[in-house]
Amino acid sequence: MSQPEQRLIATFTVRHRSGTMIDGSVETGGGVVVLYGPSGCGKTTVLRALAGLDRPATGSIAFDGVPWFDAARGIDLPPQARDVGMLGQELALFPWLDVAGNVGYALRRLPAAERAKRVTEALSRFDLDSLARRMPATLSGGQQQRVALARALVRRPRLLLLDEPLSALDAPLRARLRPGLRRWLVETGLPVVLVTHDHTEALALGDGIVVMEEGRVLQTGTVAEVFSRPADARVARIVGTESILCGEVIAIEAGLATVEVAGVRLTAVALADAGRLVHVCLRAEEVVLLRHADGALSARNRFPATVRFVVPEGPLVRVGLDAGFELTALVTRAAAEELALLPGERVLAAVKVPAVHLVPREGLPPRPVAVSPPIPR
Amino acid sequence: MDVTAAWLTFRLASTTTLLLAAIGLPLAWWLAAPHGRGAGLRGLIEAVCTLPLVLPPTVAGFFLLVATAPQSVVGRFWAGLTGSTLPFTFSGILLAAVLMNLPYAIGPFTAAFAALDRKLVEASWCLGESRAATILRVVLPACWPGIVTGLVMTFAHVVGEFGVVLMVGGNIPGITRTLSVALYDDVQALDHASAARTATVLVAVALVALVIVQRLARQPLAKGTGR
Amino acid sequence: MLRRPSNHRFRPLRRDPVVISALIVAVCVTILGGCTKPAPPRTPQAPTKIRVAAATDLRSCLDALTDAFQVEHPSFDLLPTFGASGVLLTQLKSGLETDLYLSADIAYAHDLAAAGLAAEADVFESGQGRLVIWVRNESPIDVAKLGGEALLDMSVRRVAIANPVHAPYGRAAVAALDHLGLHDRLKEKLAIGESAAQAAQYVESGAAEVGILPMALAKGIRLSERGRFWVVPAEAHPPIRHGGAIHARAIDREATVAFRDFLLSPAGRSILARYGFEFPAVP
Repeated sequence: MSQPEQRLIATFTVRHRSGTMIDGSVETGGGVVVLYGPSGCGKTTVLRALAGLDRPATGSIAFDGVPWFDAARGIDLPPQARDVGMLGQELALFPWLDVAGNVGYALRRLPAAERAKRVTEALSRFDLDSLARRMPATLSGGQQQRVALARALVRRPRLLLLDEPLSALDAPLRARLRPGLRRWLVETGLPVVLVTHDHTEALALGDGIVVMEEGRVLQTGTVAEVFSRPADARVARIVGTESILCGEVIAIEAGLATVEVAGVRLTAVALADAGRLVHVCLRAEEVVLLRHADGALSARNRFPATVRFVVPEGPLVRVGLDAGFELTALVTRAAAEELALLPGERVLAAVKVPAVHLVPREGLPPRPVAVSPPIPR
Repeated sequence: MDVTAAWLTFRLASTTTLLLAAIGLPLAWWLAAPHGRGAGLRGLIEAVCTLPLVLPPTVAGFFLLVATAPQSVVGRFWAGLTGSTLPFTFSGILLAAVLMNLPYAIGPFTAAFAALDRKLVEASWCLGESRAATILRVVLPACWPGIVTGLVMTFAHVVGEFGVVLMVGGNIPGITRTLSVALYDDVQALDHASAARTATVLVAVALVALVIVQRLARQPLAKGTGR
Repeated sequence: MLRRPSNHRFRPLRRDPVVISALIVAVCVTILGGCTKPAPPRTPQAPTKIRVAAATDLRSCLDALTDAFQVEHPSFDLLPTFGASGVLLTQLKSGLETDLYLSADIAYAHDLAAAGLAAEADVFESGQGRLVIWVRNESPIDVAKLGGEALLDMSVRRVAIANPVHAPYGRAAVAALDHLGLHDRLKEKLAIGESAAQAAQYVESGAAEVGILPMALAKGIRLSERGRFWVVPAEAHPPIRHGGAIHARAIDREATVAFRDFLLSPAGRSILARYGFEFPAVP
């Protein structure tokens, strides 16, 4: 399978502020790569190394063929020379400049007319026209985030680095801003590396994903692949056990959406901001298995599936199913014995409507990202 | 009031402030840096810079006289360079003033730089500004209250400097007789009227300085806005 | 400096007019002050100002001498630095530059010559000073009647004298106390000024009730109207022989010599006599 041209190729180790060495390994040709993992695993350190704010100990970072860092050859370009747009967790807007001043900060060397034009352009792109003269301290969280984005993007960087862009906002605001953010990121066409520890954010914003824990890269791949097929128990623990499926909303009625996934129709609670393309997430804990379709069941989604494998997991058993799409169910051992769940058996899978979790997937279809095997440790 | 002494005092205060700004700002920037490297050295230098605060002026004056006496290494070097001594000259009291006022400059400078939100500096770098441009466009606008505080405190303190100036400078009219020394001289001469006038000027300078510093202290800390 | 966080919005530099104006003024003063060249070295052609390092008891009489000298030499002026004679000697040996050293003890002037800072031939004696016991006008002590006993008055808590280590008048005061048999009794009450002038300041301000001071100061313009005194008999202490020396590196030697000669002339001596100086042995 031919891979698109990789623009950012980075493999390095860098020292975390606590002293431990972090492995960084990121490759992308475009789209949004998510660095995903629990807090303190070194994701921010990796991002800062990509930006040039911290110097790695070993390895190399190259973008579009230009070496940004090479331990062997002693090359280390400062952030100014790398032309990255970096948004830290703290937005770091300059409090003594108004919004227009902040956005135009990087354009100092342009002639005044050109600078004014670019600033106005950026302000309207991010809906900040009316706020141009306001001071950052007077803005809301969402507005500040847009100003920071505008400021970083106005100088047309080659690579965008975002550190937990939505984490400090409250949940409703996050949910509102997420689709917009995805849209903007896609519109810029820039490769993006984005750090988050939020499951939904990774799902909604990312194309590719790099799962990290304690300074090690555990798995890389597309978001859907990694979340549905964690390479091992550690990754599974970090990403949560979920099946992520691509689906299409074909009808919405009375607040419920009908989603088609690989030929199977599922009912789910409709999203407020519904697009056509969605990710459908099913947690293994919420998949109920039946032998026969007798009796009324409150779970509205029922579909046949074939058992593919049965793997014990402590007191539980993980059942892999094929329902036209891949599905996992977690049941007790007793239940597995009672239902005689063996490979090849046909069963019925049932999922309650509220348990079918939809995540909007607007914009371009996900671009494939190099899938590398997890680095053995 | 002694106009010569007043002009001499302002010359001394302003030159000291200029020198301490030139030496103190880079030094304070280094002292305030958060890196772990050189932390021990940093602590030592900071202690040395703070020493004049607790050193009795007479002790300081004594050490300076001994260290810069014509027979000393420093004294001979200076004599070779300029042909004159350090004690009893303007250069001598300038040296004394610079050393004694290190804490009044370095203290506020370092506090301002330490309180600087480094994320602002990094944001500037990522937006393409060089380190030098960042100092002008980010560090100074963010830290100016602390910097100005240091300058004003230094100036005001030099105006009032007495013990060391008297010991190192003697009481030479037009050369080392600053306002506070002139005040002392007036008291010795039992000229109370002149002493009162000089004292009023000195108090006025101190009050103006304090008012400025107070206003500066009310500025909220410049943290990068946004969480 | 403590920084109080406040609710005020962060006020950028350009928006605080008070601080702006203050800063502009400060910058101007700084630039003006820092850039001033040091005073150009004096040459003999410039208006004559000779530097004098003088004992503190000479403050008033030097004024009078200068006024008189200026009658014949209008462009002449003195730049005096006063201090205890011993302290001045130390400073001179440490590099203090002066044209003329006037000490309350001629031995110090010889010492200066011995240190190579003055020619022995340039050392001269200028007269003998006298000691007085001085009280303020408001004081209840009848010093003229009591004489030395005034020091034992009940109201006396502190007796001001100059520092015996550095100041000849301090040594003389201690000798006088010994002679009067009062030293032991008054030892704890002594308030020691670093110079005769400071001792005078102690009494004049009221910090001490009585002082043993140079007559030259007592007859000087400041003290003469503010108090009264009793002259300590000359035999109570060794003679206080004033002397001086022309500094080897005097810039305007001619003017310095002229002033020194005036000091020693009959006209000069008559002025000194007004301040209680005596000239027992005419050289």
